[in-house]
Amino acid sequence: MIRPGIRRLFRLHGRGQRVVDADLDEEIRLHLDLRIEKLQESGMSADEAREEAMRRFGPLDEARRELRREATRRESRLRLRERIGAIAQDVRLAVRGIRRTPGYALLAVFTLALGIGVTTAAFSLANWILLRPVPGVAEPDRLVIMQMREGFQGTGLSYANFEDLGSEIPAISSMAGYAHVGVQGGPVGVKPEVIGAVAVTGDYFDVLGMRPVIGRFPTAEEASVGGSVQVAVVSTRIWRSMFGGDRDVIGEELSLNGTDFTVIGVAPEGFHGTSRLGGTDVWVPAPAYAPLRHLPDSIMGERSAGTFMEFVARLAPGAEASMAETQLRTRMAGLVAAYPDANEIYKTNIPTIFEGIGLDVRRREGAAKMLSLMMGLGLVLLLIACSNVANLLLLRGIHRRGETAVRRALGASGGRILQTHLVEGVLLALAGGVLGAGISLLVLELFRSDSFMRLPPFEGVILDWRVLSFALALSLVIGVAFGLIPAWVAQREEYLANLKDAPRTRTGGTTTLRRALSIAQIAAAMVLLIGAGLLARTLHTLSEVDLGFDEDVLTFGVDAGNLGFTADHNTALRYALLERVREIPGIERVAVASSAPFTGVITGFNLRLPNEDNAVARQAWQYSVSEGYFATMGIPLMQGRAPLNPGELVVSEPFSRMMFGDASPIGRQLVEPVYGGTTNSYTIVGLVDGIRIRSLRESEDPVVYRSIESVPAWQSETTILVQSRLPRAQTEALVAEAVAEVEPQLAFYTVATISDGVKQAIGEERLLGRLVSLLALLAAFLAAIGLYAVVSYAAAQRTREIGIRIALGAPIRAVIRLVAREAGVLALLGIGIGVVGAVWLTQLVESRLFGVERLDPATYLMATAVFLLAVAAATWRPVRAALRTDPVESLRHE
Amino acid sequence: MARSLPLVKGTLDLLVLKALSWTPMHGFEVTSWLEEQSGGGLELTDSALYQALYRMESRGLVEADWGMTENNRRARYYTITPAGREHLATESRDFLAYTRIMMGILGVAEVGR
Repeated sequence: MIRPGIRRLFRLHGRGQRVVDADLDEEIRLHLDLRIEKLQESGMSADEAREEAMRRFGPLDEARRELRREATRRESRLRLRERIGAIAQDVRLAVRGIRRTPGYALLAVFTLALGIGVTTAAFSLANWILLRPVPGVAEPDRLVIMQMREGFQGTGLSYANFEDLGSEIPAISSMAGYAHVGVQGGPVGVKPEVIGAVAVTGDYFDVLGMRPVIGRFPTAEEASVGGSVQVAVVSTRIWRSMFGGDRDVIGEELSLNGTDFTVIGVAPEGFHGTSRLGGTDVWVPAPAYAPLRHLPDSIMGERSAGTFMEFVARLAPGAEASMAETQLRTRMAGLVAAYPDANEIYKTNIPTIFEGIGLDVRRREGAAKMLSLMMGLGLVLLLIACSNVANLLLLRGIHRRGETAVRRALGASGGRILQTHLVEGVLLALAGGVLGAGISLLVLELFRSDSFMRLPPFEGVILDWRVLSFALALSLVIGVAFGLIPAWVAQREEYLANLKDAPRTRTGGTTTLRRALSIAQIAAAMVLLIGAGLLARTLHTLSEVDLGFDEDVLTFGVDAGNLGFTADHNTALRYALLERVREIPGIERVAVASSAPFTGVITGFNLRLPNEDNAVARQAWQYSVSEGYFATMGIPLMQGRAPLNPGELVVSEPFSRMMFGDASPIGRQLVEPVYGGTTNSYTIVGLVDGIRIRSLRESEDPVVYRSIESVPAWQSETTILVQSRLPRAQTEALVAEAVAEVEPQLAFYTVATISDGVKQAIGEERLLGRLVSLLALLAAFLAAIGLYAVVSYAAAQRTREIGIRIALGAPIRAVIRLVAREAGVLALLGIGIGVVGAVWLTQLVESRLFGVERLDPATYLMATAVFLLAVAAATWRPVRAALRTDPVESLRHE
Repeated sequence: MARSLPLVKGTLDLLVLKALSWTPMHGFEVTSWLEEQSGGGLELTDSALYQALYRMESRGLVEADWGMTENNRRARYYTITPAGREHLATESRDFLAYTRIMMGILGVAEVGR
C-alpha cells in the first residue's frame, strides 16, 4: 500500500472521470466476487451465491450512480487540495530560492516597485481628478455640463431666460443653473472668512440626485424668484469647522456678506460643487444672489442680466448628449428671436454641451494630457524595470536548468514546472506591487507639496480601491509574464541533454533576448535622460527670467464688494488701509492696488489714440495703483513722474513701444472707448520699465497704470503690497491686525508673495522636471545594472577561453577588449536607438520647453556622456574579474 | 438468529470508522467485520456501506488507495485519517451519552409497568 501523500508527489494531475468510473466498477466487482466466494464456501451453489450477493448489495444501478456522483465530487475536491498544496509547495520553494540569493530578489523587487510606484501614482492622480465620481451625486454619467458659448465658460444666462429654456428640451429631464458668489462670513459673531458660495436654481440638488446628510435642501419655492427666504445649505467641511459638527446645526444663523441666513441642511461628505476640485462650501437659493452681491432684487427678473454662469443637466432616459445639444441650440435660437434686444449676445454665442461632470471642462484636456504624459513616463520606467527583472530571471532560469531537468526527469509535468516559475514571478511582482504602492505615496507627496497644473493642492486619501486594484493588476500581469519567460526558456531546452551536462556552461539561446532587453533598457533610459536634460535647462532658464519687479513683495487680497461698499466708500477704505499699514514699524514700503502680478485677477483695458477709430483700440493690461506702488514693486521709473491723479496714466515700456514706437509717451493723450458709446480720456505722465504679469514664457506684457481712485465700481478687490524687514509670519500677523482695525468685517482671500504665484505659474514645469529627472536617474541606474548583468554573465561564460588566452600570454588589452566589446556594442546600439527615440518622443514635451531647442545638441551629448560613464562602471567589475582569472583554475573548473 | 434491526441514522459512519480504527481494510473486509461483530444483527445493504465510505472519503475522514489483498487481488483500501479518529472519538462519546439517557428513561419505564 502506498501512502496517499507520496502518491501526490508522483501523480500530480487530477484523475479524469474515466479513471473514477473504472475504479468504482473494479471496487464493486471485487466486492461481489469476494462475497460470492464466501457464500460458496458456506455451501451455496454458484448461482445461488450470485443471487444472494446481488441481493445483499442492493439495487446496483442506483448505488453505482450515487457512488459515482460522490466520487466525482471527492476527486474535484482532492484536485483542488492538491493544487493548493502544490502552490504552497512552490511558494516555499520560491521563498527558499529568494532567501538563497537575496541580492537578486531585492534588486528585482525594488526595481519593480519603482516602476509600479510611479505608474500607480500617476494613475491615482488621474483617478482622483478624472475618474472618481463627485461625492453624493447619483448616476453621474447621465449628467452634462451646459455652456452658453462654444468653447468658453462664462457667458451667463439670466434667470428669465433660464426659466424659459428649461421646460422645452425633451432630451433633458431636469437642469439647474448656479452662480458663484464672492462671499465672506461665518456663524454670527465670529471673525468672517472668505467662503466659496453658489446661488442655485430650484432643481440643483434634484438634478444631482443628492440627499442631505442632515436637514433638507431648499424647496423649489424658496429657490424661485420672488421667494426671499434666506436659507443656506452648508458643506460637511464647514459644518465641522464652523459649527463643530453639531447635529443641531439646523436653524443656526450664518452671516454672509452682512445678511443672515438660516442653515437648513448639510451636503454629503466631500461634495464641494460639481467640480471635483470645487471649493464650494455654501449653497443658497437663487434669489439670494442679489442681496449677497448688494444688487437690487429686480436684477433677477431682467432678461439681459446674465447672472447664471454654469449649468448642469440630467439627460432624459435614453437620450444622448448630442440630441440635447441640438435641442438646446434650437430653443436658444427661439429665445433670441423672441427677445432680439435682450438676447443679442446669443446670436453669435452658440451653446454647447459636455458630457460628464467632475473636472472643469476647460481643464479636462490639459489635465488628461499631463496625466497621460506622466503615465507614459511611469510606463517607460516600468518597462526598464521589467526588462531588468526579466534579465535577472532569465539568468536564474539558466542557472536552474539542472534543477528543472531533474524535476522533469522525475516526472513533474511541464505544467507543474510552469507553475513553479509562475509562482516565483508572481511572488516577486506582488512584493514589488506592495512596495510600489508605498512608493506611489511618496511620489504623490511630490504633487501634494506643489500646486499641480494650477489646481489647488488636493486633500484626503487618494489611494482607493481603483488605484490599489490597478497596482495589483499591474503586478499580477508582470508576475505572470515573468513566470513565463524562464518557463519558456526551460521549455526550449532539451531536458535530458541538460541533465547530462548540466554543470557545464553553454551559451543558451536566450543570450539574444537578454541582449535585446539590455539595448531596450539603455535606449529607454537615454530617452528619459535627454528629456530630463531638456526640462532641467527649461527650468533653469525660467528661473533666470527677469520679471521686472521684486518677487518677494507680500500681497494681501481683500474684497470690500462682499460688504456692499460703494466705489467711493471702497476708495476711502483703500486709503485708510494704506495709511494704517504704513504705520506698522518694520514695514519699509507699502502700496495698494487693484491686483498684483501672478496672484490676482488681471483686467484688460482698451486704448486708442485720440484721432483713431474705436475699432482699432489696442488691448493693454491695467492696474489701478496708489502712491508708492512702483517703489514697493521695485519697478524703475524711466521718464516723467509716478504719483497719479485720476485721468493720468503711467505706461510700461512695451506698451509705449506698441503705441508710439521709439518716441517719448510723456504728455500724450489716450482714449478708452467705454461700452455704451462714451469715452474716457487720459494723459500719460510717466514711463516705467516693462514687467511680466502672467507668464514667464511670453515677452513683457503691455501694462498701463492708473490711479487707485479710477478703479471701476465693479472691480471691488483690493491688494495690499508690502515690503517688510520683519519675518514673514510676523508681517502677516501685523497686517491682519491692522486691516481688522480699519474694517473688522474684511476677510483675506489671499495672502502670498508674488513668487508663490510665480511658482504656481510654472508648477507643471517644476513638477515634470523633478519627476523626469528622478525617473531618468533611476532608469540610467537600472540600465547600468542590466548591462552589468549581461556583461558579467557573458564574461563568466567565457572564463575558460579567457583563462586559455591568459595562459597563452595574451596582452591585458586583448582580454579587456574581449570582455568589454560586448558591452560597448550593446551600449552604442542602445544609445543610438535612444537618441532616435528622443528625437521622436521629445515632441511630447516640446510645448513645455523654454530657452532650449528640442534637439539641443549639448543635452544629447551630455546624456550620451552620462551613459558612457554608466557603461564603463557596469563593465569595470567583469573586466577586473576576467583579468584576475587564474588560467589553471579556470581550466580545472571544466 | 435474532431479528435484524434497521440501522439508526448516522451510526453507520461510526461503525465503519470503528472498523477502520483497527487496521486499513477494503470494502468487503469492512462488511465482513461488521457482520461478525453484530452477529448478523444489523439490517444493511452492502451498497449503503460503500456510500458511507465514499462520503467519508470526501469529508476527509478516511483515505483510500489501491493495494493488494493477501490473494494478490487489487483492492481499494481505506485508512482512517486523524480527522476520522477525532470524529470517531467525539461521535462515539455523544452516542454513548445519548444511549445512556435513552436506556435510563426506557429502563425506568419498563420497571414501572
